[in-house]
Amino acid sequence: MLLLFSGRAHRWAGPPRAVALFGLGLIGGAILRSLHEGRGWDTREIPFPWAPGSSQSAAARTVLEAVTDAWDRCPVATEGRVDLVWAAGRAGFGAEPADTAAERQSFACVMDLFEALHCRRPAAGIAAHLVSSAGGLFEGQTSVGSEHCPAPRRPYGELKLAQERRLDEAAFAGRYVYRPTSVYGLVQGIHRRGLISTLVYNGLLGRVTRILCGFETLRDYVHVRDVGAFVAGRILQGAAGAYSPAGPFLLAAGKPTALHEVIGAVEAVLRRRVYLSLDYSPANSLDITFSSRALPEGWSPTDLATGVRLVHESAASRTS
Amino acid sequence: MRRRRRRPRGRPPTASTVRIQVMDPLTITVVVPVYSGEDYLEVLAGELGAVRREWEQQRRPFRLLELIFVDDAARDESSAVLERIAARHDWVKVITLSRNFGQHPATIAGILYSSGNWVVTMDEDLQHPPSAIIELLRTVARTGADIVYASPCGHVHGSMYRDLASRGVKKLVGVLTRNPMVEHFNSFRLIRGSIARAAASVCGYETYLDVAFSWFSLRFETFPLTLRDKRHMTRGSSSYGLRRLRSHSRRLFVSSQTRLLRLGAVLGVAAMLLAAALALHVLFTHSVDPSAVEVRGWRSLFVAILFFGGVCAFLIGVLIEYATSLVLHVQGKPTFFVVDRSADEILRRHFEAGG
Repeated sequence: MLLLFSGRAHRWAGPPRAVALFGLGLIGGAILRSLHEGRGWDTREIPFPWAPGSSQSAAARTVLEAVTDAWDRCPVATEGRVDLVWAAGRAGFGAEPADTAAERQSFACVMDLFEALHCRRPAAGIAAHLVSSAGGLFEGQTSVGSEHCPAPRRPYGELKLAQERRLDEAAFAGRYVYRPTSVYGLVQGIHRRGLISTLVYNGLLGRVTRILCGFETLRDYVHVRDVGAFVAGRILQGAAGAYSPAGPFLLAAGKPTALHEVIGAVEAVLRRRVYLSLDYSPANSLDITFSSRALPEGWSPTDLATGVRLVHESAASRTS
Repeated sequence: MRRRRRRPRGRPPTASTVRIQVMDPLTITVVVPVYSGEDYLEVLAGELGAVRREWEQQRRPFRLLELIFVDDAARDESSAVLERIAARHDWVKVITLSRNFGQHPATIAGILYSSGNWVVTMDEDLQHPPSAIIELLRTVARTGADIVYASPCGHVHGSMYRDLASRGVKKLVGVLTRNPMVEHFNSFRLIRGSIARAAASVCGYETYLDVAFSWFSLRFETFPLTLRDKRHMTRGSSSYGLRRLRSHSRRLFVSSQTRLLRLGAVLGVAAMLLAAALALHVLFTHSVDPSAVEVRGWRSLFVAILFFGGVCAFLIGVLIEYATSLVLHVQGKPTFFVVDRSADEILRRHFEAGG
């Protein structure tokens, strides 16, 4: 995990701020980039093990000590603010219950310690930002709007729902839940790429992409840059202690997109056919679409054609 | 006498074809392109809302999931009307196009924003009664079709000339292209969602949408309906002037087939063979009677012209064949498409039980 501090060198005004970013993968990395674009930060990396136990608890305490030390060192005699961002995701969409258990415990561990911080320093501003999953929560539902209830069909969705409920029970005021749909984008070193990035990457290298759903399967695709910018915007806005926990925020394109449309968009950008291996699974072929009426204010998703082009530019520079 | 090609008839689904257990009702998206409908949109939305409520009350195994209006840079106050309608109903969506693109592109946009198992397209001007949607579904249940067109009974536009012109063009194109669907094309249609979206995703600006549907399925049916173009009958005008109708017909013809291109290729080969035959004839007559033509060098010049002319015609024919392949590729005609009709069993059981 990564700690970010508002340093004096970066001309921060007001109370000291910290961001505890758990998860530096696809979405976490995008949030980090957007935070750096918004303001300058001092950073400190703290290894946070996934395995629950004493080492994990010790790491979490180290995080809190680092945050409170930064507050105490600040010449401004006021309590600071810390934003806990949980974008970690060891378990993927197809995870088994055993895979999600460790993640559930890790999130609970971090939440417990930040609640303990809230008890010790009640005047401090504490906000938690949870990157959940619209796909996991609403799998099999179409045209999902604000009136729809989450109904997970697999352990991954249940994990996300449990995390949302845990966050809802938190004692501190700032609670933000983000529900991105099918996020795509290219991040160096991340082994779990997602469909669109995999299609582009394999297309450039002439490799075969394995498809697990039907060509007509509808999903909603959003570029990771948009997700990162939106979450970072919520972190950066607002004064210490003044939270408006609206949400959950549905981060979707509001446009159902079939797989064949995605493949067409990728082939149009690559200007070549992509090789596909079809491994059709009915369980992976449920439509998941979202109503454009349920999207939050200030959210401007990139269209698919542009998004694929952005992925292509990133991938091409790495494969050349 | 040439035997007419029979169009493929869909077989109604049987219990053994059901592979997926569908727990939720089948969903229907209605797509309405809007250009000048300020006088009709409120009533249309009201009628569709009534249909939606009626199906819910009757506990039908299908529901009207969403109504998508596509604002095609409407030239009247339709945009404001749509905004009011969408504010009142959360199942109504409005997509606003950046400029006027035309009815087919607007319909394509609406289809690409749909997520229903079935998609209904209809006009903005109350020409197509929402209450008839259930009859289109009943036709699917009865026949297993992928596409159902409303088939107008009587005069639609109140003008025999206009109706005859419309039907005549479609009939002519249907004969020339040997596509049995063409003469039945109508903007009030029910299409299987996966096919609608697949066809819409390959359509270019010049592609005629219904022709694209026919690339994916020829299992279509028609349902007779009394349709009335009230706008034309009351105002004596429609949003389709003569110029747009001509453009419409041109696009229909060009999208329908590549036979004209192929005809060019055939003519090229035929010209080459004719050239070869004439050249042989000239050489033969020269060998039989060298003195028949007094002008020296005429025969050799003629043979040379025929030879190179034939070669050019042949090469042009070859190029046209390649152009045909490119056109088919650019048009997006699929190599194959897989469809799942298992959920049709739900409709069949419902309507057979008297639903």
